[in-house]
Amino acid sequence: MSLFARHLPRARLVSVILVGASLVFLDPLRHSALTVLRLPFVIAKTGVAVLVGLPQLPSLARQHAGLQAELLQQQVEEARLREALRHVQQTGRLLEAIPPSRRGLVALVIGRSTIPTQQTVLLDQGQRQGLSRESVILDTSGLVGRVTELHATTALVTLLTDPESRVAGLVERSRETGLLVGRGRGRCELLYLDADADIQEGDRIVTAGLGGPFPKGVPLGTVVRVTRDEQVGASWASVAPAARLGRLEEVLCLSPDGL
Amino acid sequence: MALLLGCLLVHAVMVQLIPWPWWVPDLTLVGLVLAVVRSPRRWLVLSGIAGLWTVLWAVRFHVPLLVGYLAVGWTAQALGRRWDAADAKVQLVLLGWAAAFMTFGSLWLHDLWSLPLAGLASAHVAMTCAALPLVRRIALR
Repeated sequence: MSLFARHLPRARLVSVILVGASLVFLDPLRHSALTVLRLPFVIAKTGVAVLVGLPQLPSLARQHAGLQAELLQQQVEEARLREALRHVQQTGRLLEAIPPSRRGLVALVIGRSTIPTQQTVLLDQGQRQGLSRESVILDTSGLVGRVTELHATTALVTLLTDPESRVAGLVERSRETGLLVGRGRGRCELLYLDADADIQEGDRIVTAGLGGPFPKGVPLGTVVRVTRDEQVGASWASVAPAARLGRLEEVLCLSPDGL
Repeated sequence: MALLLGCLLVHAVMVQLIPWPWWVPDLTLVGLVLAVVRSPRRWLVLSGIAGLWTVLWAVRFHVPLLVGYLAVGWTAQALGRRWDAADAKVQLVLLGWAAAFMTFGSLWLHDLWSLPLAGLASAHVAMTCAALPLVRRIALR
């Protein structure tokens, strides 16, 4: 009797041969077995990757902020191009000059006003980083406001809902123009519309680009209610801001002449 | 002084967490009233600190805001001497008056009058008054 046969009972030998053959020749069984066997190696590899990746987190965060800024710029550019396209389609000729793209930087909101009737936020970027009083402040959804006070390393921004905020607005669908005024309670109103103005609930309001630093086509908000006064011959619309003014964390600051 | 500074800090933090300042009790006023009734002689310094802190966030009416806080401080120390300033009810009356004065005064300065805003302002004053017992309890510990 051989050394091998003495130490390994025949039943066990047959079992091993059968299991080995099934693993080799039956794909699903082999795949499941290999998946289970690989698990400890996958866990160990993931653990090592996490440890290696931890020091890279700060640079990843910076990259993320840069990509966000790029995304916001692209959205503004898209709005501008949509407006330009609409103009071309209407007039049938090319625009003679398209304003150069604006460059921007991302700023963090580090403080909010404690005064209910003065709705402002404090940014962590200022004059040294290239902000100016003409800078336009946006978030991923739309216009946030404009710079009211500028310091070396911070800036105070008046929000769209502040009672002193005034922005020329345009109904995207019907091209009716009006003045978007803050009402100090989370809403704005589009004023100076005719009584028979073509405006209805759900209409998008965008910047009209009439004077001031705001480029044309930036989302301002959505109409939630229209009030018409035939006697006075005017109407006005209550507008919910597009920007998430209650959840501002990061904003994009666009400067007119680049940074 | 520590009470006022603590209230200023907590107010600034709360405004960050609850984005609409109408829904945040005016802890700056609560801290000011409580601090002045405890130390009436320092009313000018305390009012100045509260006023300057608030003016940091203001983009207009800086002087009226500061004058408003000085008026609150002066009134609190004057009435606190005449009445029993340690009484919680007296403090509540002082705070209610101060909150109404500053809130509706601000609406008047901005010429903002509407039913929803008046409702918001009233709720803001009520919330500020409701914060007084809690701040008193913390301050007494």
